[in-house]
Amino acid sequence: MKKIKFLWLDDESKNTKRSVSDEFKMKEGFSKSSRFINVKNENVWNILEKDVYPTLDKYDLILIDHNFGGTQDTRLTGATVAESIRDRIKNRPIIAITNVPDIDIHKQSAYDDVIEFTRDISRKTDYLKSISEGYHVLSKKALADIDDLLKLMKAPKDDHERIKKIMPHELKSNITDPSFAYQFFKWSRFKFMERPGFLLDRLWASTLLGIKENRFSVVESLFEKAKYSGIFSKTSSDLWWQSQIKKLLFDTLADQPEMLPWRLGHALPGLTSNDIPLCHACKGEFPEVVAFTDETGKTSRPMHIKCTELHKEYESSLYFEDIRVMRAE
Amino acid sequence: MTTLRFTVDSALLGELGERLVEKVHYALVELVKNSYDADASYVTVKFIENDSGISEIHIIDDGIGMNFAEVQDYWMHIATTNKLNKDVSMRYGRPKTGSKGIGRFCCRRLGKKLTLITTGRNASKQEKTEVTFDWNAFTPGTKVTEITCQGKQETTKGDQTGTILIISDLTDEWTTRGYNYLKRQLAVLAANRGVRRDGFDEDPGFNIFIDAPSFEGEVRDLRSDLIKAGWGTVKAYINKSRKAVCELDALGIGRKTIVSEDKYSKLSDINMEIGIMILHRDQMRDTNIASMGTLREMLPEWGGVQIRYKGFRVYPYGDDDWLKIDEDRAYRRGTPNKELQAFAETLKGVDPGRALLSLSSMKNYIGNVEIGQAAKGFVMKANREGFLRSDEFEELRNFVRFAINWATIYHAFYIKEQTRKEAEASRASLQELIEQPIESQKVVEAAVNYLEKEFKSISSTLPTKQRQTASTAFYKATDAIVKHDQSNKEELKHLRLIASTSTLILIFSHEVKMLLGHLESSLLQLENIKESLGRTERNRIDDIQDWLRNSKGRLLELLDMTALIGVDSRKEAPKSLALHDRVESASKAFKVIADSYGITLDMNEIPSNIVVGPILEAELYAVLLNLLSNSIKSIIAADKERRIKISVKKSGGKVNMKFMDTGLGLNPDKHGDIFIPFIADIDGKLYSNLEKKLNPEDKYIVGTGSGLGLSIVKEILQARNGDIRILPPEGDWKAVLEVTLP
Repeated sequence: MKKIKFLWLDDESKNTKRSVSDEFKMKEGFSKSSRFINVKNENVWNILEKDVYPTLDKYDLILIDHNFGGTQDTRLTGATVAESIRDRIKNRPIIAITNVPDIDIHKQSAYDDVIEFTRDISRKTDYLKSISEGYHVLSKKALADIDDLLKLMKAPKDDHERIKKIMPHELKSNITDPSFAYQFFKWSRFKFMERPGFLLDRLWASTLLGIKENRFSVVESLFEKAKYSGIFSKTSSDLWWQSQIKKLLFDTLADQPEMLPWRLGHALPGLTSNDIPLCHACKGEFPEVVAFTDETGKTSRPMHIKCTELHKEYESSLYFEDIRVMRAE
Repeated sequence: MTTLRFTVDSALLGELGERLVEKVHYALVELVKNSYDADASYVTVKFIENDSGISEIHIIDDGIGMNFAEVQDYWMHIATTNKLNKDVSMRYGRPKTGSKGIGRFCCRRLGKKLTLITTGRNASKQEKTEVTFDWNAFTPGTKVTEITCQGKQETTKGDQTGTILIISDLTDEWTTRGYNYLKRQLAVLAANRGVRRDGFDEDPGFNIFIDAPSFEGEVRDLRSDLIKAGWGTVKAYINKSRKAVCELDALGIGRKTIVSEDKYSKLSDINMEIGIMILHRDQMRDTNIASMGTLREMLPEWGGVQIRYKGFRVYPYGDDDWLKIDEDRAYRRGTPNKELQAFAETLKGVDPGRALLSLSSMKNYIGNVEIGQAAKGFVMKANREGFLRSDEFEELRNFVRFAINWATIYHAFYIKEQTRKEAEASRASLQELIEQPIESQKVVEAAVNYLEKEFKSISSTLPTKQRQTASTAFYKATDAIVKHDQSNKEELKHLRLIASTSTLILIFSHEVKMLLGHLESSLLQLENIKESLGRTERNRIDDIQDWLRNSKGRLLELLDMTALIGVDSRKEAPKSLALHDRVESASKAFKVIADSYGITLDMNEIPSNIVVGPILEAELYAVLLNLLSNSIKSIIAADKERRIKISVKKSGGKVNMKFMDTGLGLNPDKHGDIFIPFIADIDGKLYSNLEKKLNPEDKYIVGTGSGLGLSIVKEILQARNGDIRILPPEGDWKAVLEVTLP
């Protein structure tokens, strides 16, 4: 893909975001002709009419501050602006960049995602590139059916039928809809990649293999083929296909009689029984799942299923792992 | 077989009229309700006077009226089931308000003679019927059905229907009290400013005019009077410079005007008048119209700010929260725009940042915004449900909210002033009593002294034994009042300090966030610079980046904790929390100071699977941070072994957490005092030793000791069915505190 050209709308007074925008432009993969428009004390609608709407198709990515309290309309939010932009161009990602990420779910739905500026904007360049590239691919490649989409996701054949079963009907039946990219990104990023099941993050992957998280790096290269590299892959931290992890594990240790992956992983080359993780709750070996330590869901740890219970605020979802919480003593 | 029939004695009319309707004003209310139920858009009630007082009452409406057959079959048919059959009115679908079938006999209660003139439709014709009823003829002993009433009937032209009731030879004297009752009751009906109901014509609303020279002197428009009866009325318009001109007339405030600094460049020919109806008896300007009862009945159905466009109501404005008032209340948005914040700063006692927290519900604002012929930019949607979104409409919303917000700030000021005045009045009245000036800080003390003096003079008349008993009781009670007052004053002083500090913390958090933003920008700069450097320099930059990211991580954790302070405890629900995780997070807050003084924290005896609660996360952190801070201070002051240990066990459904340290220890004789507010250093050793041992730059971390920490901890725990107590030291430990958590 050509270099990503972004448009950033913000009402900042201290030029911090402008400076970050300048640094983005310097980075590989971003176009130097990207623009930062400061709308402080301005009438945002006038700027949109004169300067933004007519040039929208030149940009690959739209970044918007959520809080536009510094503009002439102090009650305006980026969500309203995002809606008006998406009304005019469907196949561009729109990301909110804000200092106050506490945004109600209705307003959040106007954006593809919300990034907290002060927390992690400096680590989001790959993310922004990946989402822009994903949108670009979806807008250029005419998808005929769900199989084309599975190819873009680089989904293992073993998973095809199951993914087809859990993919929402609205997605499957609207592949040619102009807003498909937005709908697909939302599902893929916040359901498919977010909830462990088909894909696992580092903690889940290492727990499945029966290895301490900090020792997974020793055997990571063995599972390179299982790593998710499909569309939007860099919008999340590293993920691995669960089916492929198991396949590679059993292929590598074909001579072992043990069939439970979490009891087998420590036999991989370079690991010993010292690398077996302990259950956070009971300190016993071979935890099978990852669970929250309490209902706030702030911290996750490997645990035995018997030491956990279903988190009452989450529903079960076919082919995805249950969301569990530590059982109190 | 012989057929028998009931007959009705004329005395029944008296029973219905006088027994069912006790007072004349109740009767008149019923007759106006009949007009409402007859789909009238207005009713005029006239009190006609002659030299001897009120001689006639006229009730005139433009309702659907009655044709001749209806007069005969319904009006003159006692206790007809006509009303029972239909719960809502025919044309507009109004829920019927009149009592079932007795309204007409209220006429008899009001006067001895009635002329009914009514015009109603009969198929394609219009019939006017006039009947005169002389109730004197309906004397006991006569039969209702045998007395005739004179009437005439004619077919008229046009389509104006309606009913006129002329009641004369009045039976009772009208009092001001009765008249005010009438107004209050009718205010609920007058609040109907138009509404649409499925399957019916659009209801234009119901206007009530009362012409009662002896009571008012001029014709009263009840709706207009109602709007003026609440706490305040705010009127606003756009002047030639396109600025908002707002006028407030409010209780305790008087008449005030403001002209906005901001221009509403897209608005013209806009006027609004809104009554601010506060559901509080002391906050009504005219209790003859507004009362708690009528407002409670009226506001849920008829409250709201409607929009009229070129004279017609635009839906759904007024039924919905188009001004986002309830939304702002739900989100507790208390800060007005800069212009109004500056204005709020001019009013004593009003907190400019929270001045809108007293905003009432959208239903408490009752009135209209009129968009006139000259206004531009308002285009109705194709389905006639509101305007198309436009800059003009957004400006209109901002304009109305500006006026309402401005009035709200005055309301906040009014509340403050009232409280101050009430306190001032009670002080003045006490001053008058004791004939001496009293400082505002010493009112309780002066009141107690006065009581003491009075008590002495009264008790001197009692027998000795009774005097002694009474004296003991009196002095114990007054001592409790004085001590409690002193304690409250002290606590208030400190709470003020804490409250001001919490604002500072939020400002500080905001500034730290800004700094983190710069840090993010610098990290990106370093990333870009790194790409042009050699391997050695790149490694150095990597180290710097790692260090910056670690520092940032610590700051973010602390920021997350300060964010918990800002949590609205009414919205945030208490939860079950993993204790180990929270102790770990709390200990990180003291990591820098613990490391620099070599203090170790042993958490090995906190099982990972202990979950406490339900408790607010902020509360649990308050407990942990206070206890850790106390232990660290005590250890540094003692300057010996430097260890803290926390062990946790579960027993009897509760979690027992022991905090043990090697600090100064606690004097067993003073264990009871440690949880009393403002006792910061029970043995007087802690802070003097700390002064000597603590590096000056570390003082801010451990605090200066308000003496409130442990008392707050105890209160939090007790409120959550937990507790805290001191245990005798065990082993090498100098102090052991046991916390019980739910």
